[in-house]
Amino acid sequence: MPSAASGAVAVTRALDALVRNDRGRLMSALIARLGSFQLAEDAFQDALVSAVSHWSRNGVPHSPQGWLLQAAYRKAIDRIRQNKSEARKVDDLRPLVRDEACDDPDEIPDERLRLIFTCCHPALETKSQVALTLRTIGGLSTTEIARVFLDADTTMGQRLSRAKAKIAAARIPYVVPGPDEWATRLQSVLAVIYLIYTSGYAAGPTDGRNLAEEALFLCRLLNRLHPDDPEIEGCLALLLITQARCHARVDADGVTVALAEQDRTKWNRAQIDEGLGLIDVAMQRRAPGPYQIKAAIAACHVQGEVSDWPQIVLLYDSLARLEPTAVVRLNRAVALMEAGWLEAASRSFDVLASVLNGYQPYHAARAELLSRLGHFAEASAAYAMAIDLTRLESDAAFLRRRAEYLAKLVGQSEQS
Amino acid sequence: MALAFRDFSARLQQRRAVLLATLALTIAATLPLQAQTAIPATERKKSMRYMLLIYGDPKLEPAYGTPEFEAMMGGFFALNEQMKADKVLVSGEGLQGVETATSVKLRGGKVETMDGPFAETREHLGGYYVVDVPDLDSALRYAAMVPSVAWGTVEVRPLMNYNPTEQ
Repeated sequence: MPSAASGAVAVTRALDALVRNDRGRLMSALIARLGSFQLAEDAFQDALVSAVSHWSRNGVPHSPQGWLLQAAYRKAIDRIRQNKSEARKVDDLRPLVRDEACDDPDEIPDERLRLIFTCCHPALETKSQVALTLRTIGGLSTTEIARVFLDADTTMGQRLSRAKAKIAAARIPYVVPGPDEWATRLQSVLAVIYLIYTSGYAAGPTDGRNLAEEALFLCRLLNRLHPDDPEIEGCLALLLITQARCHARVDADGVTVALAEQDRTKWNRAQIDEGLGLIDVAMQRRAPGPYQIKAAIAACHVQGEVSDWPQIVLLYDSLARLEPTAVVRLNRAVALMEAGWLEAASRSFDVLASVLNGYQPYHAARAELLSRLGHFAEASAAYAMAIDLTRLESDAAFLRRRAEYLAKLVGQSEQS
Repeated sequence: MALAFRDFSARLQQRRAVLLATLALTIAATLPLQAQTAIPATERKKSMRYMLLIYGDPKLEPAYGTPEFEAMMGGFFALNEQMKADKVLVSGEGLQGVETATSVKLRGGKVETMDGPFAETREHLGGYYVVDVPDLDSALRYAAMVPSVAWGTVEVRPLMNYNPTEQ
């Protein structure tokens, strides 16, 4: 016979799973109805609390999602009644009583596309966009998000509150942008997803939520909510192909392994194939964009036995036309070097010197170029610079290994 | 002396011609609108007022008489017409240059009056529009149509609503 305690444990477990899987969708429906992020969040928390007591007594209802949504609406009405002056109550309650919440989970409207675009609105700071997306769509806790940014919980809590307050006060609309604005607004959504991915990639496997997986989840969701968009497909392909190599990028000693030296049997073939398939489909839509190009570059690394560097140079040329940033030009210079065009690469590095002086990958790549050119003293100075600027231990270990190898080479050439 | 003054005054007029012209256009656009703002109460709740604060470095403004100047004026005129047609324009004014500005503050019970703007910034407030639109996205669309965004900045801020019965 189940005790009350074990019943409560079962309920908590059911709720945890539900929050993990359905929080984004329920929140998106709640915000659509209530017109307020903060009210939706508070009402949802209230509903979770009352679910614990109700479900422990009466068992988990046949549609837990519908139950939670209904409960959250009622809690929202309670909150409005408590907090608002008489005059405002009528107006605020009107949308709530318009139609009753449905209790069939299949009929709960999925408003997550609107929610994603609102969270990633360019009127919000990028960091807030990332945090809000992780919180409302991904369902991460404030503590988990604070850990991602190495912020204190309270700092992150304040950032989230400020973002929600700005959405309400400046009236950032809860809509999917129209065709005129779609392309630019989508780029800011994809930038947020990519930032989440790279944060996860840089952090490596941690004890918390895996952000790389979170980004993949978000991108898949976006692709499902808005199918047949070549840039979304491009972004998903890019994430899949990069993620496919995650087990090969660090060796047993925790040292980063250069792409050319990775054990290809450790690559996830299924993810690579899915990514390549997506690029093919996207390219056929004849609407090129930065994420498709980045995905194509990623594809050049995994098709065939070695990376196709001349092709990669050409792809970076096209990317530089769309995104004329110093980092893109650096990547192009690296591709020139890897293609064997050292003089051209060297000229590009010189041009970028002043802009990228504080950027670790610049010095790491320049060290490699200088050692290939035989300028060993300058190369080892560049390695020292790069190691100084490296935050990730696995990358620092990789660079130290290269620097030691270089020192050995120099020693040998001096002896002979 | 007299010549120098006339010269200065002409230069001043040239530089400020832009915003003064904008002002004239704006007033013309605003006057017939007062009647149009009488939107039914249910509609009014849906709209929100934003101020578009037009900042720019006067040195970067196109010079009077150049084709760029004509293009800018055309742009302001088109925007005024558009806002009028869309029934969103509440008001708008152009400001004279910062060389005409005087700043006032009260410190230790004493009024301090100073020449010029209080902060030494390159971009100065040159004028504003107030628009009545459904949400931030619409306000941003009008902001992007202000010709001076090509060299300056337009800051978009929601106005305070002092009426507690309205959202």
